[in-house]
Amino acid sequence: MPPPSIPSQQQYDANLYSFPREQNGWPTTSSDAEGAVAGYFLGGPSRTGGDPYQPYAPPQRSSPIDPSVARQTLGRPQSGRWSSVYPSAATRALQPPGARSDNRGVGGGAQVKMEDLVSQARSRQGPVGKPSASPGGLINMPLNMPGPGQPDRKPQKAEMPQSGTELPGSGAGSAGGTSTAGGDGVAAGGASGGTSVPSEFIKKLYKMLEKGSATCGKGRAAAGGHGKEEDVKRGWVGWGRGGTSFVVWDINGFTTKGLPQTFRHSNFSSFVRQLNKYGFSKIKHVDEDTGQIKANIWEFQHPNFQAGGKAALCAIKRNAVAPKKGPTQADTEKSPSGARTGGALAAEDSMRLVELENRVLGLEDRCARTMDKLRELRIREASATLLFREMIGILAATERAPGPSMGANDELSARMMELYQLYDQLIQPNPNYYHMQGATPSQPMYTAQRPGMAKSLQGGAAYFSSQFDGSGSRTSGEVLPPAWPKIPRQGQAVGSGIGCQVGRDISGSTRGGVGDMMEDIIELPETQQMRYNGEPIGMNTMFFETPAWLTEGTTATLPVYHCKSSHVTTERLMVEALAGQAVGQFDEMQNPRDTGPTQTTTFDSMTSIASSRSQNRNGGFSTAGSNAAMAGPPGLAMPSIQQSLFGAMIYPPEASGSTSRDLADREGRNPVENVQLRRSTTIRPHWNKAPRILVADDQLVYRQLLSKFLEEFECITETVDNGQDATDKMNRTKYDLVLMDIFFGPSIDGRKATRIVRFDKLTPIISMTSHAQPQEVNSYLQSGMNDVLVKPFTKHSLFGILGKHLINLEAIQPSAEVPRSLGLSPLPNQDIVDAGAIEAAQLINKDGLRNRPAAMDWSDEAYQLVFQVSVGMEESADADDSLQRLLATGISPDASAMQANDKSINDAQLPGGGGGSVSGAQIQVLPSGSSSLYNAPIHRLPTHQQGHLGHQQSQPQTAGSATAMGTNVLFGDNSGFTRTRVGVKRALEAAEDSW
Amino acid sequence: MASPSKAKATAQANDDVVIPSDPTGIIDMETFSQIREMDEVEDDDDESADGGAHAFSKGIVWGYFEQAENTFKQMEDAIAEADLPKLSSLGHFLKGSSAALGIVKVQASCEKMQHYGNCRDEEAGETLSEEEALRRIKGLLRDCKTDYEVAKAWMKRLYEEE
Repeated sequence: MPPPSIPSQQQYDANLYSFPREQNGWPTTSSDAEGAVAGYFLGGPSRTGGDPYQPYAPPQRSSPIDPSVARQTLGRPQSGRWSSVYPSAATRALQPPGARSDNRGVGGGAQVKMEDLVSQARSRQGPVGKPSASPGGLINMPLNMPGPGQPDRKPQKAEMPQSGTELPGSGAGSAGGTSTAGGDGVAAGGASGGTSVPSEFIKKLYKMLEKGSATCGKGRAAAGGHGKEEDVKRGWVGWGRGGTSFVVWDINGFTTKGLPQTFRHSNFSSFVRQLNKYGFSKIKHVDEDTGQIKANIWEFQHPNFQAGGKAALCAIKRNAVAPKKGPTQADTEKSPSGARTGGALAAEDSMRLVELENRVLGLEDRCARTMDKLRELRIREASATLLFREMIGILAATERAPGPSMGANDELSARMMELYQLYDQLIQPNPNYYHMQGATPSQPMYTAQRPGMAKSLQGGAAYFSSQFDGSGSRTSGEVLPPAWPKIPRQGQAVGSGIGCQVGRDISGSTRGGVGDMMEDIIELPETQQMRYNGEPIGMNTMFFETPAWLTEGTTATLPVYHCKSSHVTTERLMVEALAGQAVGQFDEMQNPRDTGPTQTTTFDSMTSIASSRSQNRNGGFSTAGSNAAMAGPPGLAMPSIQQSLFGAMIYPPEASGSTSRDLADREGRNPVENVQLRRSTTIRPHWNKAPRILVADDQLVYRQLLSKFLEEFECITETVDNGQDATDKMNRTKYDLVLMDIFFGPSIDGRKATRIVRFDKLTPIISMTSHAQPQEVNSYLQSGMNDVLVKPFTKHSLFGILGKHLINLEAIQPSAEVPRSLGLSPLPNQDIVDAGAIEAAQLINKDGLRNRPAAMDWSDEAYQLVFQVSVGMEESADADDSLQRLLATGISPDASAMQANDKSINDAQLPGGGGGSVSGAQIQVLPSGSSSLYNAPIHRLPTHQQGHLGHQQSQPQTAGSATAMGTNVLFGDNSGFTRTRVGVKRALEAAEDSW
Repeated sequence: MASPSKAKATAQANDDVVIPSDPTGIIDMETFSQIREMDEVEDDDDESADGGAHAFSKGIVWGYFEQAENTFKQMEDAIAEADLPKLSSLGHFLKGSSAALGIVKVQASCEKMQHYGNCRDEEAGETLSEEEALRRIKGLLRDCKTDYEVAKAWMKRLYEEE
């Protein structure tokens, strides 16, 4: 075997110039390939294969087996090359030069004249058809396809197996391959086309067309049966132009029926791509009757693909896939061919053109796909951005909502502005935020103030980050969630919960500031209680009832969640402290959507506070001071934080004179309404994908309501009116959420239905019922339901539920990345416990000023000083003095730190008396991370500091710049979004540590 | 038998109904206005002026009317068949819809019917005989229809005014 092969090779080389090169390029001939070649040579000629087509036909049937074989043999480059080249080589070898050139010449012309080609092909077939059928086939190649072109294709063909698109090997090839050395198999293959058997695709296509024409009459199809073929079975494709082309008459039919039958797919464009790869070209279809060009009819032609021209099929090869190779080969081909025969050139060129065209098409295809992906990504990004913006908008809206009733609108908005600014600053790295802020309605102040704010903020942020990194940080996320649920239930519980949170944030050390906060806190619980208990906002109960959810959610799907939960807690605290908007909003927003909205809410409240403060206060006060503090060494920095916190704390009270108090009142009275109105107009869900929701309710009214709402929430809703259908549906389809009525009529109720489908533990099932007594709710939860939506529900409670349970579908993922990067360590439980204990202890005494910091080693005196300063030292001098005194007493390290900060603040910024008080206030605020702090100020202020408030209010204009650190801190806590939070947290933690 | 009586009752109700200006006691405005609020929101969003105003709530209310009348019919059939369990479930059913719209009187009647259908008088905490239950249900249905007609008239007027 080997011997023959070698000669053949030589022969080949000698004959084909283009080939030698390629050959060299290839590693070497494998024994398989050689064998095949040898076989071909030996057996091919002698072989009697009456019909060239035959050999490959069988393989086709046994296609499953073929591929592997094909891969073994033809799959290799060499073999592929060999086979491809071979024919031509053989042909040349066999044929006298003259004949070859003749053929060539004919080929050149042939492309233009299809008829000629056909006839030639046939004539060729005739004579050569038998033993030398292969030669005949080979001859074809030179004729139609330019011999040179063939080599090109062959390689591609070889690649095909790899791509898995098609069977590269023709039957013959595979056969030959199987019997590596076997002359028989090879011979069989050789007969058919030695070179190459038509590829699977071409064979199928040919068969399909033959079948089709057989059905509807070849002549008709070929002649002009175009339009009529539609009637016939298989009529969607047929030969056209006398069999020199084939026409897809009915793309739809072909795609839906023809393709699947023949190619097992139904993708017309991939079919066309395939055609392109094989060198088919699309030609305009001219209606033979009317002479019109029909765009909706696809006609393809290939010089070697003709009705009755089976033999020529072998010459149809896949185009070279490798883009780089293409050109080279083309060149190779070109030169040889050009040298050889002038006539062939045209054909070759056109072939090359076709190939290039195909390649371009392929590239375009890929490009299009890439673009699609890109678009998808952009959309996602856009939605994320949108979400952010929306959240801010919501915050603003929430803030504004209460406003109208109070008439405090402007103030709030100003606060918001400030928050925006701060937020912006903090987030500066992220351009989106800017957009958001810009987008948010309101606040002319924002822009103006921003520059100054930015500075301070940045400094603050930097400070925070640096400090926090160093300090052992804790992530309260895990611990906190449990704490949450408790808060709402009982006033005291609330207090303790806050305490815990505070403790966490501030942890043991922040005492001084904390102490103040604590005092404030005392009052808070009650108010909070009132709010929580007093106003049944649909979700509240449920939420608390199902604390497990929070934890679950935390651990389960969202990595972000941990961070968020902690944030939420913080926010919550903040919110509570703020009281006014907090409760109402909180209930609706926070609970339902644990993450995004909640944060937003907090943010709002925070913002409002900050802004109000800024308005009321001197603008100059803080910015520089905060900066300085931040810039300072860690020790100083810590105090600065406290200051800022304190300031934040204080501010609310001041503002509260008019605003916060009002807010609180407002909240207490009509939180729901305000919130509702607001949200209804502003809130729109942003899902990553539309949630699929099943509504199971026997009440038409509720089904209508729900589908309406859900539609508005951009959910895909299905409704069923009985439990049986509900379970059926849930068995069939995966829903993102199920809203299930409890009493479904006789056969099956919601609980039962839930139990039935609870094999799926992931789908949230929300029971809707008017029976929401604790025991009942318990039974719902026990039956596997996740939550309860109390009937009659409101749109907002519904939305809240959705947000809460479909958090995984909300498009807020991007924000998740930031916190993670910071890598906070979990919060030690001990701190929380301690904080809780402290808080509890403090709660016991509810009268008068208590020295909360005492728990933190603060003396009463020191406490008083701080308190005074914070509360309402109107004159900077006084404040300063008090601070000094405080420092002098040396009671607490905090104090000194504070002093330093205070000084820096005063020096740097405070122009007027107001500044002093502010700074003091800030100091106190520092510990604020906790909501309790916030709360306290709000409540307390009205009583204690009316005068002070008035004073502050008189300076509304200065507000803009004032916020600085305090704001920062607050913001950090609040901003659920990103690193800001983390930063804040860290800052707080750091503060704790330092203390 | 059922439908004639029902038709009569309805006609009668329509004639007799005095539309109260104050829906208190008949309709829980808090609940109902929530639904109305929702379509206000809708209207805002759609910026559809008059035409679409309250289209949503109106659709729901009208759907309720249809449902309720249907249910009344079924109740009458069930009474004719003395099918207490069915009456109970029908009562429950209509109770839910009524509650959703805040049509509290109908809701209350339906709740009673639900209990009577179970041969229970929950108010008195006693068990009823089937005859007694059926008898009460008959009376209850009459009252219920009346309440319904009043509520319906009130709502219709409300929507017509707009």
